Amino acid sequence: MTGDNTEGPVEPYKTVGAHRDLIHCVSFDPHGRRMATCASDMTMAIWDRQPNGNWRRSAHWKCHGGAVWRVIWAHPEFGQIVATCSYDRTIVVWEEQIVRSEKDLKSKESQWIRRTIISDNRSDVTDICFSPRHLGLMMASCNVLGAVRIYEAPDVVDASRWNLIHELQAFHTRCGCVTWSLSRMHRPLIAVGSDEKKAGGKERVVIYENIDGLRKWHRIHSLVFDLPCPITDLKFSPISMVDSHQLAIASGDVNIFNIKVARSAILEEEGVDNPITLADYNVQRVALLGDHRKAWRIRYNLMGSVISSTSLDGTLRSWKSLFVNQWVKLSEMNVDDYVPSPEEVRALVASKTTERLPEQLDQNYF
Amino acid sequence: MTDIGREYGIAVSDSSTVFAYLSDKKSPSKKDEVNIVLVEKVSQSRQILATPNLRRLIIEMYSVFDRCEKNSSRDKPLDTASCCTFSRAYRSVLYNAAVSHSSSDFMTDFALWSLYEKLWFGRGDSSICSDLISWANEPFTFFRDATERAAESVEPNKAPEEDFWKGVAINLLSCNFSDCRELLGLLGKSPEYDAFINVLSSFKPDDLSDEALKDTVNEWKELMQENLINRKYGNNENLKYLAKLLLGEERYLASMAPRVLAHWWQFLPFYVLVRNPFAKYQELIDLADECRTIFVGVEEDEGARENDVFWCLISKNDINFQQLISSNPWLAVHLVDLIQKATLNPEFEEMRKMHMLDYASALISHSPLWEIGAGYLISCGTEGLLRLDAHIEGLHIEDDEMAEQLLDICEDYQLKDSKNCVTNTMTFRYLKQNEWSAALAWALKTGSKKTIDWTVSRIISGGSKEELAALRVLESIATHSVLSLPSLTFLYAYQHFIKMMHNGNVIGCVQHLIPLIMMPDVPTQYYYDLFDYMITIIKEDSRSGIPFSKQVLYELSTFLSTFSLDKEKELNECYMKKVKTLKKMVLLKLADSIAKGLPLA
Repeated sequence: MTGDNTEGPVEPYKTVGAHRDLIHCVSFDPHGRRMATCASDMTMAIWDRQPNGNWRRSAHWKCHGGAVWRVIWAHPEFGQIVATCSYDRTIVVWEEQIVRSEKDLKSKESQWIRRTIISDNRSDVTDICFSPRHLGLMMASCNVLGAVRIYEAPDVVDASRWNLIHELQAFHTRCGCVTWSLSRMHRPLIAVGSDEKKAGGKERVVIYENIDGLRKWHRIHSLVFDLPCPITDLKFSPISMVDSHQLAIASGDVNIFNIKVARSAILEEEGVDNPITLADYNVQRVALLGDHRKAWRIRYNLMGSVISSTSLDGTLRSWKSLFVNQWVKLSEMNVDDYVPSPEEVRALVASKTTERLPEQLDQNYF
Repeated sequence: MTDIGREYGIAVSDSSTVFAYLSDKKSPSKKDEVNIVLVEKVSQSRQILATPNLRRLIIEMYSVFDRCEKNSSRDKPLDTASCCTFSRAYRSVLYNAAVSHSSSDFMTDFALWSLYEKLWFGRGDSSICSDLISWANEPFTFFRDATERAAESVEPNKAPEEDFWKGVAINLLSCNFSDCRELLGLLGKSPEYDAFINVLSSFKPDDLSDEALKDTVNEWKELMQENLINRKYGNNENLKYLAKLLLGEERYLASMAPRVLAHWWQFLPFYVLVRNPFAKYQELIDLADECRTIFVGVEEDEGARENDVFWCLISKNDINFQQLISSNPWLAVHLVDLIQKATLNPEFEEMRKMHMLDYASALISHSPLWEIGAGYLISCGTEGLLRLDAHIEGLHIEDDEMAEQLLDICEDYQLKDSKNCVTNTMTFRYLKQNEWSAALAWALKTGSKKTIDWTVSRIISGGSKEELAALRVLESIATHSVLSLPSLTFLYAYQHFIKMMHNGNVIGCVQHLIPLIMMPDVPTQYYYDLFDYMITIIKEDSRSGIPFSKQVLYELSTFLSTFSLDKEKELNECYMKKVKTLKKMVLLKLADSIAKGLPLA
């Protein structure tokens, strides 16, 4: 791509802001214009992209009584809703509300309201994931006791009411990650991964299939994944084939699997015969993307053509899918490329942390 | 691995990546010290598309593309005249961008496109050499600076300096003979200069297009040779040098061209002119090869030729050519599209789709240009529409206008799921803001009974009586007679009832209320309020003297009996108490009517 820029180049690296303790999760909203972060300091923050491309912290508050592991965005169709899960055994659902400013009645300001606390988990909640949009407002969670719990907001406009609709015992050890399949053509699937180091190679991933119109989930025993390392993340590709899903699993390296669906799993339109001949689910590893056995988090792009992984060695690696089941490394970016000096960081962050402190915000948000 | 660099969180979107990492290990003990920092890596596409000037280029390119798309057919190749017209329009946009940005990159793009047009889009009614010379006159703007500098360096009664001769050489090697003559004319009258200028003047580029005039072209060369032999340039070594360049002496060409020109392809028109002015296409490849070797030298990096986009263009190495221009979307997308439209070559069809899908995705992810991105995706057939479907779900809908535009696209191209996404987003957004009229209007656009029922129920339960009375959208629905859903019919009747109540039309209220209560599919929560109204009206009956027919009272009492039986388990004690009270009042009223001998109906 060419083009001389008369207005000064856009900086490729920018310091966005900071937390006071380890940040466990950074998550873009589905439009990429907002971002949520959560940290060990029991707080979360919302960042908005300004028209000039810079990020502004629009809210920051104490949201849990323990380290906050995950923050996720619901699809914007349901409003500006985020959910957080924590070491304090709870899941909290937050919603942004636009209210008239107290000082100036004409202008509007946003407030993040705690809609509900889901506290029926008996242990540390390690991951949460909203269902795809077409299934409504649902959320799956997993915890250190190996349980997967599925909640539903029966009224999508009311994020304060969440019913526990299913509880599945995936493992008898820790669950570390959970994800939903995104295909509209097939029955929904939920994949759960265990990050327990002592677990056996074939006992690290479990897939559940939804049957009977969301009323029942059953474990697919025919899907067995032999993986050498604990599972740190797993994601379904946003694009699926007529006869298969694609699942990426971070287990040391990034493993790409094709899950051939059972014939019964294809949601057919009335009166349309399905020509595909399938019997039961089966799985095939189609690619192994080397990540020095340190893959940590994985993400697909919108079209499922690029997969990015971050490693414990501070490297971001991206692979692009060229043809079916063929992946080539697109880029590799090491931490040394983007770390500014501590002095630069302090100077940059000092200018961004003059907002209200979390303690002051507590009064407004709780 | 250092702890300082270790990252703790990451977010990846199509346009940027944000890392959270430990920036300074020394400070964790100090609470006030910030030590976990977020850094964003902005994608290259986002960086480039963030520039307003480039957005202008994108918009202008799209405008040409749109016209081209409308004027072409999938089954019939674009005719040469139309192809050249669109090619010129695209080049004009690139040229404007190059001039307004003072960008050499855009000028190179312009040169590349122009050369492609000359070689492959044109009618072929002029010679390649003539085409190359006319091509050189458009994008080779560097000779203007050289001419200015050369003219400024001329001082009366002083021998010309190096800058002057450099300017003359650049003009000569760029086939810009008119400026070359003018520069030499600045040196005043002298037989040497006059002789040289005369020879240059005798050159007519148009003669190159007519093989019958081959001798005339050769005469021009012969004259130059004769002048050299007859020492017409005297002792002026510079003129002799220029003459040898024009005579195509390789030693001189190899020495001069790399000194004054930046790229070998800038030298190609002159090289072809002096070596073989009537070269055909096959000979052009050999000449280009020689020209490149003379300019670059024999030793060059491995793969340099494959990575040379101008060489790939001239040698018709289509695969490499397309790969090399692929990093430059406004060139790759539009040039490949035009080639495909002109040739209907299936290979180009695949490349066109690939370039266009990627370019459109980048544009649509960059929100202000989403409409243009959508336009490109629509032109990519089913695959484009599938991608558009996925993109619309990820688009932030700024306002109603954007939502309407998206809805139009969804309806035009039958993107059912995206349509649901847009209409649901707007319906829920307005419901959350308690803007009932807008919410209902968007719910109606979904065309889904479930969503309309559900929205009506939310409006009925959340809206105040005043707000319901002010629901304008219902008036337009009634006029269009689309009250086919029971929930909507109820809402309409309810609004009518509330309006009458506000206007103090008690008799009208009574006439409406009883049918309203007995309507099918009334939301349960509504009965409570409706029963309240009914109780009040019956209580007031003695004062206002509202007539109740026996038939109506009988039907109402029957309804209430059935209702209390059906809903006994659902309703709470308070609700049931209210039902019982009303039932009792209705029965008393019925008994009273019978006693008074009121008419049946």
